[in-house]
Amino acid sequence: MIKKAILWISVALIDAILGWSITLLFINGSYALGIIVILLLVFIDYALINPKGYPFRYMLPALIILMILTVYPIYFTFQIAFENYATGYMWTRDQAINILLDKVVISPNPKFFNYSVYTLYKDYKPTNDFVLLLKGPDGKLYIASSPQPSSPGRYTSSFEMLTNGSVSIDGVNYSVVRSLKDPSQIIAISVNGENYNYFYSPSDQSTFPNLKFFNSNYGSILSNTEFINPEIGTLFFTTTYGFNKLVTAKYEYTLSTMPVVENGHQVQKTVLVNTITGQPVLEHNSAFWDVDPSTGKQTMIIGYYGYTGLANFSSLLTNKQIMSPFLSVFIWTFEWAALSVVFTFAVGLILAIVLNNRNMRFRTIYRTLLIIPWAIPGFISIIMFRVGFFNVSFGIINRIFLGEWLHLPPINWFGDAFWAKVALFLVNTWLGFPYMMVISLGALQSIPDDLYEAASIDGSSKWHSFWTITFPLLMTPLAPLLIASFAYNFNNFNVIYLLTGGNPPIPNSITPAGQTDILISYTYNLAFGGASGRNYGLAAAISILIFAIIATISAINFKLSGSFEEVNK
Amino acid sequence: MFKVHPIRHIIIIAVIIVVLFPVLWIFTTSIRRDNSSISPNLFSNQTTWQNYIDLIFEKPNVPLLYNDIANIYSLGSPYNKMNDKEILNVLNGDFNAYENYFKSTYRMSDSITSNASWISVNFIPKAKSLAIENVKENSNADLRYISIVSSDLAAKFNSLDQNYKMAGILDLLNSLKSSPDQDTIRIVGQYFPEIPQSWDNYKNSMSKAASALSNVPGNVSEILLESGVDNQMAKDLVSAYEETLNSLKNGTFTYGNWFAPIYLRRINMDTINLSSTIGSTSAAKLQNIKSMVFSTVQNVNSAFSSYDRSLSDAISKAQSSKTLLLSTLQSSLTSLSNNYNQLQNKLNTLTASSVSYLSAMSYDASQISIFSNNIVPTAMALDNMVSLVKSVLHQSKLSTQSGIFYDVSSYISQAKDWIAISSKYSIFDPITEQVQKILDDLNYIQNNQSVIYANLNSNAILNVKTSLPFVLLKLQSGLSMSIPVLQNYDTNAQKYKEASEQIPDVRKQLEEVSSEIGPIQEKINSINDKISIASLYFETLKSAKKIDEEAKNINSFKNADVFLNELNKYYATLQNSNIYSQLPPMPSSSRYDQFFNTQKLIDTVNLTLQTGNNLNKFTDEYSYYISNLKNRSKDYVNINVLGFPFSVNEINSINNLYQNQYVSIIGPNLGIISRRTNELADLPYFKEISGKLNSINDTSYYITQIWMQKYIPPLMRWLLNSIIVSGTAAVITVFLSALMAYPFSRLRFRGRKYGLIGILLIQMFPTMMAMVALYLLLNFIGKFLPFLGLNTLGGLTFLYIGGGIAFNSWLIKGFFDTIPMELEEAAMVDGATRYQTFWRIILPLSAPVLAVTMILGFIGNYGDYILASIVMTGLNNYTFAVGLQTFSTGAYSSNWGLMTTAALIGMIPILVLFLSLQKFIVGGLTQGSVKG
Repeated sequence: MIKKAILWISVALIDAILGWSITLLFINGSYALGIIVILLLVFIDYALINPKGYPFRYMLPALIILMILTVYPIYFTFQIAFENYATGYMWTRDQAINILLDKVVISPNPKFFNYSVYTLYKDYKPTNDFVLLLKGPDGKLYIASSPQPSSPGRYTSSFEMLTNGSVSIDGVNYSVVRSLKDPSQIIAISVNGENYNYFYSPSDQSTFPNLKFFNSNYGSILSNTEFINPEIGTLFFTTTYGFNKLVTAKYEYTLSTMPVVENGHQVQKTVLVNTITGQPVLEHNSAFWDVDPSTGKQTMIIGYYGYTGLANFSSLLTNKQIMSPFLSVFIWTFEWAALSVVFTFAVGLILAIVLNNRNMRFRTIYRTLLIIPWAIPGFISIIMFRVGFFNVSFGIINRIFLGEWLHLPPINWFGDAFWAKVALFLVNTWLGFPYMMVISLGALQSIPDDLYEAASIDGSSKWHSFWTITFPLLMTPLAPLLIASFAYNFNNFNVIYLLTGGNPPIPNSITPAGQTDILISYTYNLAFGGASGRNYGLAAAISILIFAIIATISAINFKLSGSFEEVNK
Repeated sequence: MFKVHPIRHIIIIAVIIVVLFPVLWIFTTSIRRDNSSISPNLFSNQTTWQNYIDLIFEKPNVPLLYNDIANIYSLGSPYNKMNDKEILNVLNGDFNAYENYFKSTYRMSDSITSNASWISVNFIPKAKSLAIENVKENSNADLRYISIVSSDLAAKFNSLDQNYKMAGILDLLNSLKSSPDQDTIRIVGQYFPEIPQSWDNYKNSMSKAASALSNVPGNVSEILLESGVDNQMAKDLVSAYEETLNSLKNGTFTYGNWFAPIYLRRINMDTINLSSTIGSTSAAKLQNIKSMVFSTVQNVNSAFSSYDRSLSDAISKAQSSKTLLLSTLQSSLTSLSNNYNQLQNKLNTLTASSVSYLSAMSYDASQISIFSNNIVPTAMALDNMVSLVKSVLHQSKLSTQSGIFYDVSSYISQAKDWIAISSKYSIFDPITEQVQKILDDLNYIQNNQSVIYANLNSNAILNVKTSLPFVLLKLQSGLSMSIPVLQNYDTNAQKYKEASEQIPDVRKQLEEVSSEIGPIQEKINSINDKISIASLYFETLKSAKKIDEEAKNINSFKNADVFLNELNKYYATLQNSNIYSQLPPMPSSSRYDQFFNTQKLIDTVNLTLQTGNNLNKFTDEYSYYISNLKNRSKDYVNINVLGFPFSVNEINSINNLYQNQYVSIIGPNLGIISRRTNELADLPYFKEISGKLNSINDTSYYITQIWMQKYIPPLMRWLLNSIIVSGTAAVITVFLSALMAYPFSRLRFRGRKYGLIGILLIQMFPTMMAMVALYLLLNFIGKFLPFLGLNTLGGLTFLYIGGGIAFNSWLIKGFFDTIPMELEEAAMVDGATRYQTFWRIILPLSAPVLAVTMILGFIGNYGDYILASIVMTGLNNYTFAVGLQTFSTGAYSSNWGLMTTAALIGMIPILVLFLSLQKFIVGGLTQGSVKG
């Protein structure tokens, strides 16, 4: 009974938590993640409630994590591969519109207003109720009413000029209270009879102890407040001048309905209008464009991402500036993986053959010593190679081996494509041959000695028996491992990125591609490179491509090693 | 028993040395003291464990303590959140550390000072005398060399013509103009006796003038005193006369330097001004004295002028000799060179223009070939039409009728013009052929106008007549468009021909000129050589004699120094001469190394004593500031914590002191001392003090370690981050994977097969691919669960877990499959639930494999760079992989010692883990490869 109770309670709890997160997700617009969590919810309920779902209970924690961290990202990668999510297009259309509507532009001949804050105190502590005293460039004083919310996240406040020390705004009476000792000081403002005390002014150092309160309590309101006066216009706190002073400014874009020609008909549409030029904002190519009324030239203001279909994939094939570096990276990736396997396998096999003798003393010591390059974490050894060995001016290869010992000119390791590749192969062979050596040793040991004896009796030389006996018999167990190594090197981000970073760069390429870049490092630079903007959409498209290739290779490999049969057991 | 051939061992050992060399290099570089990124040595014998101490214990040295204190006083983070008691605690800790450092510094500075003074008192006098002996011994070889060279030069010199001798003495004469000296005058006196004569004359006149004027200053001051004048002007007048007298006495008088500043401005003006204040008799006396001095000096001046004249005469004589030897040759060389340059320019222009013509031609030719695509169909069409006409005419009986079928004369002339040009060039032959065919066809039509006209009623000919205009139109447009191109080609071809015909001629002329230049240049060179011999002879006359004299006098350190200086100057003169290569080889200069090294030792010891002094003073001042701060710290901190900005000026003073004293002077000096003592300690003749020198070296190094600016990154923090993240992720991953693998292995349920395939598929899409998605995902999650967001350890752990589950589940399932089911069935018969069989049987049995998987997972996560670099953006949150990168870029990329130390510290745990798991790894791999 207790067990059942615990079960139902936990089901209820999990449902509650997941339900809450689903609603959160849908509110935030992450529909995909929300759907996945819904599926999870259904699955969890089935697993916990239904006795037939017993096996699934074991899988629950792992499955949750798998779903969130592996399945969802796969889905997400597919999704953004079909969108144009990139630098300059990082918002949804609605977000872009909101950003534009929030933009404040300072007017051409700006007028500056200084201000002081007057706060209502309660129990000797300041409250969030305040008004402002403004001083214009002509020295005249104005009162600005307490900012009221007008639309979500925005506030308005009206300000009017003081006449004889008082003014009435929207039916509220304001008057200034001056100090008796020094009439030039306004110590309070009386609002409908209640005194708001002098609290803070950016030019008065004595009020700085109140700065913290001002920033935390008033700052967010004031930075979104529009101060309105019918004659002067609108004042804002801008990013240029911060909270130092108010500036005449206005919202750069507003919404308005205008007649627009669409499909040959005139329709009334709600469009964004640039308040300075008066021109409507054009929208095409997944972005908003300003039009200069005199020249007709269009400049892009902000872009938004949305479904663009196969644009990313087709640009890989059609856009010459993207395609040709991509193609060279693609070809090089295959070359790199294949040659890496060849080199590491050759070295590993030779060493395995030399070591493969039971009578050899110190055999285990040799093997242990030779495994060390594999045991050292890759990123450490690669950095050492990059900085200490292959550095063009300071590296010991150029400086000491070539310079001091042999008096040869230095080699431009990372500037010349050929030598960069040589360096890459050297390092990768150093890193990879122990693995090959170990598996070759294992495979060699499975070949019975009688075969060699028989062959030598038949008059075969060592070289001949290697090619006819050893090599074919090695290939059977090793082929899947070699293919797996090919797949590993195909995606060997660490070596490429940490040693050469893809350099030397391919000239005339708008995407950051290098001559030693492999697909995955190219993708990484596209997504996180930062230098020429981040093109997440294109990066995701290439990720999918890599996945397709790897999946094919792995499928071939699994077929070879018979893993699929194990599934059916 | 087959003995293994030793060659196997040798090969393996060689490979091991090559393969493990980088590891060895990493270790040795991490313990080096010098800056290995610029040192020419691959290894160094100056070792220290300082890098390890710095990185592991992170004990801040003085500059880092200073940063901390400055941070405290300006209430930077994390101090802005602490209360005053806590801040005072930290501050006191810092002050205590400061005290310790001061004590160490005093101790170490005393050590180097005492060592240095011991050396100075007990060793240096001995070393000095040994060095002097060394110089004396070695000087013989040099003296011998000098005498050989001198006699060689003298012999060659004497065989020279007078003009050469004159030309050779020119340099010496010029040097006399700027700085006259006795020896040189004697030397040139052999050829120009007027010079030493006039010089002696000049010297005599000066000493005579000096004795004549010896009483003047005394007289003048008497006169002035009598007149009662004792002001500044009077003093100035007397001193002006004194200066004049002194310069005449010691022979440094020069008229140019005397006349305006001393005579005009002082003697003259002062006399005039003073004369107005004293009596007329005294004024007259002063006047007289002034005139007398002036005329005496004039005598000296005229003596000098005659010397100067004789010198100038000699110079012009020498100059004219030189000119005589060289002038004609040099002028003809100049004119030949100009000629050569002109011809070279012409050749270049011709070559360039012919290249441009060629390229224009090829451009035109390609245009024509485009046109040819046009022509062929036209020709074929025309051909067909004409054959149609011919076939009709062949059958027809009608002969002629007056009339014109179609006038193609203009086309004929066009085609003829075309062929006229194109036939000149064989590359247009194919087209020419076509156009020729057209021409033939057109001619046929033109010649048979009336016959064809007669047969107009034939359908074929009517058809031809209708379509002929179109063909002809096309032909005409093609021809008219291409004729200009053809003509252009023609022009360019002709110009090209002209240019290329000229080129061989110009080349030949160039050769002729250069062949003339050669001999002349040689003649000039040989004359210059002979002049150089003469001038070297003269130059070395003086120094050789001086060196001989000095060599006899080497009995003190200073004299030895002077001797060696002169010797160096002599050798330098030889090396600068043009005929250096004709001289016998110089003896090596390293024979005097003992002397120079002793000099170096003396300098270094003095520098050490001075630096020790400076260091003490510097430390005194610094600790004075610190003790002030200590006394005032309570108040300072309180005021700051209360929120009132308060600037502590002592901080600035400390920084200025540090920059001005340590960074500019003491620090570099300590470095110099270290370097020099290191070099000197190895020398055999300093063996006795090598211990002390090494001690000075080490101590200086440790002093700099206390005081120099260091950047110590939070390596331990990074290591801890890596270990926490990788370890936690590995443990959790293995548990979750084991849980997940269990039903797939043991139970049969719907969706098992597709589940397994799904896991396989997911495995193929490594999380790295989805780095974009994961980045945004973490960003999103971080808003609600801050401990799992970006830049948190939890977030990264979360990602690692996700990345490992698929792969590990598959592996563990494979292992579970090898455990026989009978065990569980037996247990279940005994009443255990499924879960209990999992918990009590399967897990314990697979514990070793799970442990190995965990450790392998740990090693794998530890080595991940790409995810960690994306997720972790704050310096303190870096994992070790990302943190190590910061060593290799930017300003710290040349501090190899620190970088290799960090690498080694991070590498050792993994290395140890891996090697101790070797059996499992190797065994597992080989097991997997051997089936059955």
